[in-house]
This record gives sequence, structure tokens and C-alpha cells, in this order.
Amino acid sequence: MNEKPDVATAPAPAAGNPAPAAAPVKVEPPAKPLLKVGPSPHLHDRDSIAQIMFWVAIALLPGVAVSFWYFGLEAVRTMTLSVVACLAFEAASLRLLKTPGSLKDGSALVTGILLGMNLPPTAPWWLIVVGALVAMVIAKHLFGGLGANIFNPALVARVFLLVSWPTLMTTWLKPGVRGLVSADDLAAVTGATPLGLLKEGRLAEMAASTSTDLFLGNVGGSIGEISAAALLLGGIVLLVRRVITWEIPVVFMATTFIATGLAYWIGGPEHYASPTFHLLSGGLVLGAFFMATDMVTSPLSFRGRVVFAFGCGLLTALIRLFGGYPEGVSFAILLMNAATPLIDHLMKERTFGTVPKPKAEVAR
Amino acid sequence: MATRRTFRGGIHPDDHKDATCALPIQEMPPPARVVLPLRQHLGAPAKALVQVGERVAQGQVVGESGGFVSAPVHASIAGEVTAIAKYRHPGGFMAESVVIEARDAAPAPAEGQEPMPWPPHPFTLPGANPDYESMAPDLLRSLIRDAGVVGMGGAAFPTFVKLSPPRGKRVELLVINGAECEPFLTCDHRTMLEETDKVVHGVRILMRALDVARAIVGIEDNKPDAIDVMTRAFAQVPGVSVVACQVKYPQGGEKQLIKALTGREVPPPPGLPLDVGVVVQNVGTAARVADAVMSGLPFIERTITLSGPRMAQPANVRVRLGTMLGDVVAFCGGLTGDPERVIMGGPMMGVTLSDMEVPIVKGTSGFLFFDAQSAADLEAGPCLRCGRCVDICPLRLRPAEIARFVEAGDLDGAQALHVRECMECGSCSYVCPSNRWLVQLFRIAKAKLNERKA
Repeated sequence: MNEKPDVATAPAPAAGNPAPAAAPVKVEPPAKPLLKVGPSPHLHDRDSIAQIMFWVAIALLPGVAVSFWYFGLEAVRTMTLSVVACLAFEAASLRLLKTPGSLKDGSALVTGILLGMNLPPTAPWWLIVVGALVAMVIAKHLFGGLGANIFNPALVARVFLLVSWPTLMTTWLKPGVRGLVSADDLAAVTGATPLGLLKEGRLAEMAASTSTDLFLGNVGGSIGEISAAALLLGGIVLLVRRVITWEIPVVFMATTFIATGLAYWIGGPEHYASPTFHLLSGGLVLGAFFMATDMVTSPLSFRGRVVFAFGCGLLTALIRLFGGYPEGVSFAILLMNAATPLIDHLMKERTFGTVPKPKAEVAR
Repeated sequence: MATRRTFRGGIHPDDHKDATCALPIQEMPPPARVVLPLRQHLGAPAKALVQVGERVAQGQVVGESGGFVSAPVHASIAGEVTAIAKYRHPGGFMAESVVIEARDAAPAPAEGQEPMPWPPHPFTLPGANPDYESMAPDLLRSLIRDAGVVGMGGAAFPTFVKLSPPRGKRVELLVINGAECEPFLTCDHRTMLEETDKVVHGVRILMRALDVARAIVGIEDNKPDAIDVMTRAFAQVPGVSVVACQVKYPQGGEKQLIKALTGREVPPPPGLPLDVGVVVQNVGTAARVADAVMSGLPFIERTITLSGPRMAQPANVRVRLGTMLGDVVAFCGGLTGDPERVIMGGPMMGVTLSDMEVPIVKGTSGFLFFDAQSAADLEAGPCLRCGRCVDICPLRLRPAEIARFVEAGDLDGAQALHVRECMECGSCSYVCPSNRWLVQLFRIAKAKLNERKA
């Protein structure tokens, strides 16, 4: 029931009356045309899905631009292929599965850009196509299309690719290699991400990337995660345009910062990286501003979103500090996506004018 | 004056009040014909007291109150009753109505009788007196009842009923609603500026009738002139304060206004403001109360706002009840083209007309004439779960979730999420980026639930 009921022109031509048995009744046209009627409210703030998606796409541009600068043609190739493949799978799904949505709403474009940002620049073409297939068809349309998916499509695709082809998904181009790279040359121009080095205990090498490098993006990594500055700029655009609200990015990043800070403070710098490093490295800023804030897969209410973001931040820190993977943002968000219906259920607010239930009654 | 009070949630639509807020109320001369529906209020319709062919004086009762929750209807012009039949009501339904047409002269007198003086002297209510401080509350209430005064904010609930709280309910505060939060409408604003004395007297009468010592006048602070005028007018009245509220829709909703002014939350239906010791009356209602009690004037005219992009010269105009909308529009200068939509009331909660051949009734605060650009007639999409409706719902409901239950046909689920408490303010539909018809879904659910209960 996603279509509007028709705007009726009243009075309806005697819809309820039983049809006369004999001669058809000649319906006199009204002397003058009747006015168009419709239910209130008659005003709308004129924001739309397409506008929201448009602004998300705009806000992602600085991050994309930085990766094009550091990774050159490889990044351009990966991003273009990701967007085109996502649009193609979206079009095919809309046509074959008849799920709600439209190419024009821009949601597939945003998923395409986000998927591209979650891939290493040197991802082979078929990996990107498989990722787009998983994102659009499996994670989105098989769940019911726009608005009905439980998990963020781009993240599902990223994690699917990461666990299926771990080597390809963790082959990181060194920043500054701007041309296309042939398969033979790959080993010479790739290296580990700062978080990867940290996980392997190579703290000295990790420390070679300064905070400034991390901030600007002069490090190895996925296309979209390298420059905290560019992502922050996009995030501010979203906040100013009121596409997202502040609580998810702020609580998410603050929680990770504090949790990794505790580890650093208790465990000491010889074993742990500083909270600033954690804040600026990997996909934290990308995840906090652009992936965790995905409306479809995050809780409905403010309080719910705070709990959700806290969970994302804590899980990210736990995975990074104690888990098997160097990076935990995608897993953390997906796990919290799964918890979203529960959070929505538990974080219901007292409706206006009702009194809080006595404790005993709540316990039952 | 306190800082800007408000409630949680709500929206900030463009108020579009510039078109009419500075325009003095025009006086429309009595029309030659009026159509007076016997149902202009919430509750039982009035019963016709006159017959076709009968001559009536201005202010004469043509329909007597049909029960406790009801109100009489008075002739708004002198003339001859030419029909008692069903006519289209601006609410969209057909309502039994008394039609009065003005006559130039009295009818030929019967043999040996004096000709009737024409026009006949207008009726006023016996017992009315400017010195209301000396009058018993019962007398005040009966004057207000007999004058047919009903709430002028839109719901048209008979005023005297609100002034007669059931035993056991204590009222200690009168809230006067001058918020006028619906965009476009400015009739309350102009009433506060131009009928200041009447509003002041009306408030004092209402306080006396309710036996309360305290009243608060709540006004949205996009009307600084009204706040200023009212503050000065009430400066000498003990127990009355004027409070500025933040401009936010639906600040003028009864529950939101009480919350903003007192911090109290009216319980969900069937809870009433009475349950938190409050009675709310609109500023326009207060002015009509003063007319009824001090001058004995029945409720036969009101101020309405005509606005919207298709109105050639938007206006605030005082008209006789029963005047046909077309006549009022013509008086004010007509339309600039065929309107896409004609709305009675504000754009957030008003109802559309199928036909402009309708009379002005007691609950009419205005008419808006929209063109295609301004009428929200957008294509709906799927819910994105963005949560904006949840963030802004002034009753803290969860529109997105309720809508899912209604769409799935699960009325019990919708009821468990308090769909019945929805007051249909329209804020959720306004902010929905998918332009989903949320309020309409809730109306459907409520109607089905009522049907099931019946």
C-alpha cells in the first residue's frame, strides 16, 4: 500500500448506491467542475528521498576526491565500476522483483558510492560486480527493497567479500601510486594499512603514519576511508542540511575514542595505539557519518539512536583491541543493525500524558 | 513575562501570516441570504424552531439546542425563512439548514392588525448586563449557552459545557489560547489587537463562571504586537498573565499549550484538560462571551481569514454566519484563477471543499485558496525509517511503526501503539520525506476501530 489513494473528486458518483436494475441512469455532469479534495495536511516541507540521497552523494564527494588524488586511476576505475554495477543491479531488481523504489530516488547511487569506498583501490572487476550483486540484490531487494532491508547493503557486500576473498580485500595500494597497476606489479606497490600494522604488532611501522597523514589521507586503505578530514567535511554538510542528526556520529566516535583511550591508558603505549590514532584511522569516520546513520537500518528514536551508536562504538573498539580482524567498524555496524528492532522495541517512549508504569508492572 | 515556553516535538512550517496579519478586520455588510446549518457545533444538532414563510428578526433563535452538548442557532439577518432543507456544510456533509432571505418590507398585515415594524428590532438576550461582576456564575453560563457560543478555534465545542465541569473535577486554571499556530490564519491575531477590551472582559467573565483565580493567555511570539497589547490590557487584571510561546506547530493544540504553559500533560483520551485542572478557551471565544454577557448579543457573526496564493486580496473579514463563501470572496475582491484546492481552516488540519457553495459556520476560522504549487500533492514512496516523524510527534507516538501495522491490517497492533491518541495534527505527514499519508492511515485505523467497537 505504498501508492496514495486516488485524490477523489467529490461527491463520488453514488458509489454506495445499489445499481438500478433497469435502464442505465443518465448522470448529469455537475453545472461547474467540482474542486479537488484531499486529506490534511495540505503542506509539506518538500524534502524527499531523492533530495536526501542527493545530499549524501554530495557529502561523499570530498572523500572520493581525496582517494582519487592518492590512488589515481585505480580508485577511479573501482568507484566507477561499483556505481555502474549497483545501478544496473538496482534496475534489474526493480524490474524483476517489483520491489518499491526507483532509480531516480538515488538510493542505488549512494550504495554504489559507499560500496566503492569500502573496497581497496585494486579490487579486481569481478570482485566489484559480485559486491554490487550482494549489496543490491541480496541485501536490499530480497529483503523487500528500499526501506525494508535490515542490514546496510554496502556493508553486507564488504563483509561478504572480506570473508570470501580476504587477500584481495586486504591488498592495499600505497598512496601516491596514481596510474593503473598490472597484476604483476601489484606486490611492489602495495602495503598494509596502519590498523593492519597495529594488529600485527608492528607499532613502529604503524607510527610512521602521523596523525596528519591519517587526517589528510596519505595512508593505505579502502578508497573511502583514508582521509578523516574529507569525510568530516562531508559529515558536516549532512548535519547542516539536516540529512542526519548528530547523535550517531558523535556517540559512535566518542565511544570508540574513550574505549580505545582506556586501553591505551591502562595497557600502555607499547601495546596499544592512542585513541587519536583509532579515531582517525580505518573506517571509523566513514562508518560513523555515512554507514551507521543509514536511516533504514538504524533506530527510529533519538534515544534508540544513542544506544545504537554506543553499541557501534564499543564493538568497534573491542574488535580492534581484542578481535581477529584489524578493523571492526563494518562488523560493529552490522551487528547493531541486527539489534535495531530490539532497540526500537526497548526504547519506546512514554506517550504524552501517560504516567510511567510502576516498577513491579514493568518487571512482569 | 516568562521566557519562550514550548512543548517537545513539533514542526516549523513557514507561517505565511504576512499576507494578512497587518490587515484590519473588514466589516462585510449583512448579505441578502444566509444558510444556517443546524449543526455548527460538536454534539447534537439544533432543532428548527421556525417554519418556512415565517418572518424572523436578527438574533432570533431559529434552532433550539438539541441536548446538553449542543448549541442554539440564531438568525444572523432579519428576513423570511424561505427553506428548511439539507444544504452542503463546509465540513463536507449535507446538513439540515434554515435559509433566510432579507425582505424590504413587512408582509401585508392581516385584517385589522397593525403592520409589523420592519426591519424588526434585533433580539438580545434578557438578563445581559455590562456589570458581570455582580452576576451569578449560573446566569453567566446560561447567557453563554443561550447566545450559542461555541469554541472558535475550529472544533466548535459548546463553550458553556466546558464551563460546567462535572462534580468532583476541580478547575483551577483558565488557559486562553491565542497561539494561532496554523499557518496563514490571522483572525485570532486581529481579534486580540482590535477587540482587546472584549477579550479582557471575556476572560474575566470566563474566570468568574469557572470560579478560578488564575488565567494564562498563551500567544506564539510571531505576534509581538498582540503579546504587547494583551500584556498591557491585562496588567490591571489580577491573576491573569500573558505568556509568549515559541513559534512551533502545533503550539495551539490544547494539550501542547497546557504543557507549554503549566508543564502538565493531559492524559490520553478520554482524558480532558479538566483532568489536570485546566479549561482552555480561544481568544475569539472570549470576545463572543463578552458580547453575550455584557450586551446580550447572540453569536451571529465572526471574523475569518481569507488567504492563500489564489486570493487576489487576502483579508480578515467579519461576516454574518450563514453568508455563502462565494459572497465573502466576491466582497473581498475575488480569486486570481481557479483554485487547485480550497481549504476550510488552516493548511495543517483544515478540510478541503468539493464545492464553494457553502456557508460560513461558527467553527470557520478561515478559507485558503491554494494553487497547484502550494498544495502538497506529491507521490508517496516507501518508509525509509528515517525517524523524523518519531522525532517530531508532539504526542510522542511512533507514526512510522503505527503506519506499518495499519498497512498490514493489524488494528490491534496499531491500537497497542496508541493510534487512538493521535490528534491528527499532521506534523508527521508534513516532515515525511517519502510523503507518506500517515495521518490519513491513522484516521482510517481510528474509524475502523470505532466501527469494530460499535
